[in-house]
Amino acid sequence: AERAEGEEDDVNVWEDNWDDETHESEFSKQLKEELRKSGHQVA
Amino acid sequence: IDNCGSLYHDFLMSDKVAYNYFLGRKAMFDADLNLAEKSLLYAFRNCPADSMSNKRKILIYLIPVKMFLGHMPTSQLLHEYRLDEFQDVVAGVKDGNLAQLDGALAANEAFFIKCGIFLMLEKLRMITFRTLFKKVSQIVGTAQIPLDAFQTALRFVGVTDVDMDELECIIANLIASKKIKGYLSHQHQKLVISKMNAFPTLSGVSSN
Repeated sequence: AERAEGEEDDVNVWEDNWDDETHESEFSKQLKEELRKSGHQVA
Repeated sequence: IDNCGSLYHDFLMSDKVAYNYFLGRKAMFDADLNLAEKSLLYAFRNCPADSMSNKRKILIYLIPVKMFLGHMPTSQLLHEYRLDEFQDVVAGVKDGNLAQLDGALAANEAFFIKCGIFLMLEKLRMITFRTLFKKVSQIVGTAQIPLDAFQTALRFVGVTDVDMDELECIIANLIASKKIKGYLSHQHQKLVISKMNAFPTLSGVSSN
């Protein structure tokens, strides 16, 4: 039988919430530090 | 095949999977991402679970398409299908880390070229710029962001060949493709972003 959209559990296949900023990655922290060092306003 | 009406139901599933695989590949190269996603996803879902190597072939095209639409493959998926070449590409795009993305593309260049997706993956730089700039604007925390702050971020990730004009060009393209809501002030050398949802989710942008 044909498998329709959403039929398969996609939970472990595609990630959609990678873009929310609830967790600060190591990269983000370094970026923040770099901006601060360069004299930019940091909120 | 799409115009054959009810006859379509009589085709073998294997033929329908193969048809959708090639249709999706063609759509990807024609930059019709929505059709590419639909076709390749159909092929991937309906390909029997025991044909790992065929499912892997489908994924090689489905992954870049999905990434453009804002859906990132999980690390387990990549590992399961022996597609670990994508791991650092995905990590770089997710973090807005252009150095990591460029490094991953260079390291696996031969593999990606063989698959015919190298140029496609290079276009992910645009999404990566968007995510890096999103981070910068969140760190700066105001609606008016000096372009200089973006330059600092680019230098930080090892991108040194982008001058102010090129930076404005990149941002203008991101605004034109609705990935950033705002406008550039060339006179003040600033990007002014919308107070509401200035960096819409990629999956939201592409479905419009």
